[in-house]
Amino acid sequence: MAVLPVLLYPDRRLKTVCPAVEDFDSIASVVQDLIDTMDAGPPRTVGIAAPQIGAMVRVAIVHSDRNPKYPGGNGFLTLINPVIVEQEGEQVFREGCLSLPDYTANIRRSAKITVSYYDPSGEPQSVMSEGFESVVLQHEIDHLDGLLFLDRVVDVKTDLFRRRQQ
Amino acid sequence: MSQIVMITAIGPRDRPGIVASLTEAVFAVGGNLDDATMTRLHGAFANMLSARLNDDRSLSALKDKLAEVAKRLDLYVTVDLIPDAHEEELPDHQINVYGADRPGIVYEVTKLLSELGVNITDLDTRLAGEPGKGIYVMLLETSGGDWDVVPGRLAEVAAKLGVEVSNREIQSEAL
Repeated sequence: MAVLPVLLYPDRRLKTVCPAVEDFDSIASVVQDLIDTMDAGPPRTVGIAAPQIGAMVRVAIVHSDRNPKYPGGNGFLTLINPVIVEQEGEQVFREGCLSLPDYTANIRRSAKITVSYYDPSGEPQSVMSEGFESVVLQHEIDHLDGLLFLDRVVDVKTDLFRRRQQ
Repeated sequence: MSQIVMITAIGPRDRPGIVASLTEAVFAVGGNLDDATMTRLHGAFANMLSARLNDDRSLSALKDKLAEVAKRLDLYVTVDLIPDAHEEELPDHQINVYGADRPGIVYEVTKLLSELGVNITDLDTRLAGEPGKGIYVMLLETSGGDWDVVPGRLAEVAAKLGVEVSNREIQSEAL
């Protein structure tokens, strides 16, 4: 459908809690826009959430295998109204974000999660994820709640980094 | 009688060997470092450290050695005695503030905390991004204050500044 510009913080839409999808017929174009925008982004982009392209609905796509350093994920996932229903352990990963291009940060998240969600046809699904893919899932689901990784930074001195100038 | 000394060292240009030279001076006079923090502020070197010295003679010798280090490495160094405090207020809350950079973020937030009797025990900030489009990040650790009131007042200041603010209680558990 369209490659859309990725919103950059401080755009207020990135700090907004998105409402749940109720009409599944209405979100086909959002899903396609997310795919087109992710495909047009940096080659190792592995996920994007609808509010990042200004679509204020609980939709995100994740495809962690696009980063060759982290194989073994669940493939391409289209997540509608995702909810983390189980989580255990913890891991720390250095995260960046298309919407906050000047920073990266060490963020502590659950190591293993189970996410319940709906697929684009409205069928309920569930996926268990761990490692890198689970980080991506938690990061994208945060976007649907208006949360950026800066909300989760614990220590500026040891965990927050300015990204090198391109 | 032993005494606690606070050393600050600031230099216009960071380079290898500054920390080693400063701490060598403390070590050479028989001092023992306790708390220290070193960082770069806009590329400049900034260091604060405290150390326990054995006696007045050590203090005098330390000042001499640090004067030599300051001259050699182009640093501004101060050495001051500080009270030997045995009890420190432990932080009980963390506050994250971030948003589009503008003058007054630190001032407005810290002024409010001061008015509410909240003591800042640690503060760090970062600014990144192109000039005029920077994102400012500030993290504070604090102690004291009425936390039934503080979050609401912080939200008011954040709305006025157009920045995000969140807080969480710092809980420590003996595991």
